[in-house]
Amino acid sequence: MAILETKNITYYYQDGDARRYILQDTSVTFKKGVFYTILGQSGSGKTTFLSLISALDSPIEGSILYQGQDIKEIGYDEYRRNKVGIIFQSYNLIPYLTALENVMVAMSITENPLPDNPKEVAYNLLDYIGLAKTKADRPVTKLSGGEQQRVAIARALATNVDIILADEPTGNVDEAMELEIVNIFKKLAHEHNKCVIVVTHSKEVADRSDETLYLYKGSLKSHE
Amino acid sequence: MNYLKRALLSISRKKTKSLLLFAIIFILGNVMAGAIAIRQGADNVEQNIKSQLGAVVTIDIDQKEIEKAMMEDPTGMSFDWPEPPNFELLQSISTSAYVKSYDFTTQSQVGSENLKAWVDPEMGQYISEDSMDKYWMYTIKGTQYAPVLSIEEGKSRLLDGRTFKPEEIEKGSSVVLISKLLADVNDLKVGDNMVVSTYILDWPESGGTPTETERRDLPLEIIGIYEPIESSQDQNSSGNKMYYSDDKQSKANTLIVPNLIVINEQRAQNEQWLKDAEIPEEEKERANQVYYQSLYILKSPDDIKAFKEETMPLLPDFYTIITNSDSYSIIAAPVEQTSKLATYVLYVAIGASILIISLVVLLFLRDRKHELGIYMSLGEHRSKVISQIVIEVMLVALLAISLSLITGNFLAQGLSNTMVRDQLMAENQDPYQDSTIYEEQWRFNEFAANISSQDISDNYQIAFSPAYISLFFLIGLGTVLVSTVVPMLYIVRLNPKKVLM
Ligand SMILES: Nc1ncnc2c1ncn2[C@@H]1O[C@H](COP(=O)(O)OP(=O)(O)O)[C@@H](O)[C@H]1O
Ligand SMILES: [Mg+2]
Repeated sequence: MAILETKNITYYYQDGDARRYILQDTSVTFKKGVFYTILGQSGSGKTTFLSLISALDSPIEGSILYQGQDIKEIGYDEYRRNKVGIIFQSYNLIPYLTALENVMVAMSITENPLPDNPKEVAYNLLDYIGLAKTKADRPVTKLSGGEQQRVAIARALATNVDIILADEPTGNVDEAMELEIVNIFKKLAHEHNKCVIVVTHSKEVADRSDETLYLYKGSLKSHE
Repeated sequence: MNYLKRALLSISRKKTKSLLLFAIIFILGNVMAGAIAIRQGADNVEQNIKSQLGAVVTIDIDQKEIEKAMMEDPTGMSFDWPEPPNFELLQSISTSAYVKSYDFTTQSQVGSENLKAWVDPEMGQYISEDSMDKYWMYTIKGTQYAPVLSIEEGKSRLLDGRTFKPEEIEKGSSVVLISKLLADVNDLKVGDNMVVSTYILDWPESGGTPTETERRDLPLEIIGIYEPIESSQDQNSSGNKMYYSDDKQSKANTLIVPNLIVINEQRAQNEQWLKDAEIPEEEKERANQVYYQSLYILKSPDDIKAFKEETMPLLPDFYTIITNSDSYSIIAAPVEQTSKLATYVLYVAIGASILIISLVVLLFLRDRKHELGIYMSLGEHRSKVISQIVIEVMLVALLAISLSLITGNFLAQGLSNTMVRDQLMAENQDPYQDSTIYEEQWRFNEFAANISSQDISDNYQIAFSPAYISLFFLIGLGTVLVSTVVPMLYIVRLNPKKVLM
């Protein structure tokens, strides 16, 4: 059963009089327990697609369904709060907070049931993602790019959502780190039964995923 | 890590920004606090002094209206000197619910063949029995109020005897109350008889001393001896010492009698000169009209406004209601001016604060647009994001406003000393003040306010009153709160996709 589904969505940017189509009448489905990659060239509209399925923007036509229900009905805020975790390309952490606090911000906002000891859970989560306790208490501005990426992943996971969305998570890291992050996503899909959707322009990352969709000239297809 | 906790962490971890905002609000807060403190000081002095004065009002010519009418008609051809309110009108006004007690007095100057006037030793012997002074050395003051207003109101003390009986006032009995000073000089007691006289004089055309054509003797029975009670204000107004001494002398030589006695004497005097004067009959009638000086004591100073509204429409043209506290605004001009200035400063400071604080908060928010976008991408309600920012600003504001509450007050005290007190003292020498005091004295007699610049200076103080504290917190925090409106709009309009993706 699909957890997430796009139904005939169309999206374009208005460029003066011209319309620049990113997606045209696109329908795809995503399931839990699968690690998806969306592969496309730079400027093909990967980020735009992600903004639609993360409810930071809405399609001009068509609808997006979460477990069969239109996310508009759920409410965009509530959908983001309780259903998806977003990992941005540029991490987007709150600079005056520590790594731990950044994770806990998300935990305080979600309405999903969480354990009673959120602080411990957050420490453990960061540790699981590969950030030791000593670093967890550091302001995020004093962490390396890779470490900040881990905090962003931990934050997306902390709210116990079904869907993890990531925008080029391996764009700014070295190969070793890339492999590690891809493994985390794999684990999340396979061991924690999440629906992981990662957009990337890297063929290597796409090759390691369970399923790849190609974004090209306004359409999203499972083969080139 | 809810929005409240985030607000606290944001303040404490971004010290430079918090301090900057604090400094801006603190500085603007000082200006507002100072202005509010000065206004309150002015309001307080006015309230204090006016409540000390009570509410005594009289009906008199409206000088401004007359001047205006004269300006419009410089020839004076069509201008009739306004008729004063008559006895019936004065009487009907006295039935107002706001009036506690009242009197309508008349006055006439008399002399005496055998009475000795009391002379203030401080003034020197300028009254001499041989000179013309003897024709008008004494004032007979007619009263309509049997218990005598000044005694009832504690401005004079009855030492011996009694006040009038209502029928004595009604009939115009030949009874009199005299001052202790006059009684002592002449060795008079209650029950004694005394004689004063109205002199009808013939003034030579060429000038020089008049000759006495008629003497009307007025025998009076002394029924009471009174003594004026000097208020502390009269005594410490050293600047007007000459004036008060003069006043003391004329008070001592004033005899209080029923109105009809005075009216009789006025008629007699009028008749004499009207006989010779070549004026039309109706003019003569007008000359015989009695002029009453009215005095109403209201129940409370708060009633003045309502009393005015009720009474003004009843008055003849060009007449108005004057209160004994009217001179306050003249004497207290520096206080009022400073208060006015403070009001302008306050308005400007509020406007400037809203502008500056809005701008600063907005700039800070633009710096934090990623952070705000993150909260939204995590599904936080915009209302909570707004709450976090408002709390951050208001917490800093609370600290800054609390501190400026104290420093602003000191600032106001320092300013007041130079702006208010020094000016008050400078204006103490202003001759205009003297003329105001004279006029007031003439209108209100013992009920005159006699406010001096010194009184105002003494009563003027900048204090940490609950009213000041609550008003400043209200205005200060209110201003800051209003300043967060524009930044809030920025948050409402913020598009997280644009800033984050
Ligand atoms: N707000 C916008 N207005 C107009 N065009 C945009 C806007 N955002 C992105 N685009 C354009 O849409 C195309 C897709 O952008 P994006 O989704 O960011 O691609 P990707 O993430 O695959 O690089 C790009 O050509 C980009 O220039
Ligand atoms: Mg992109």
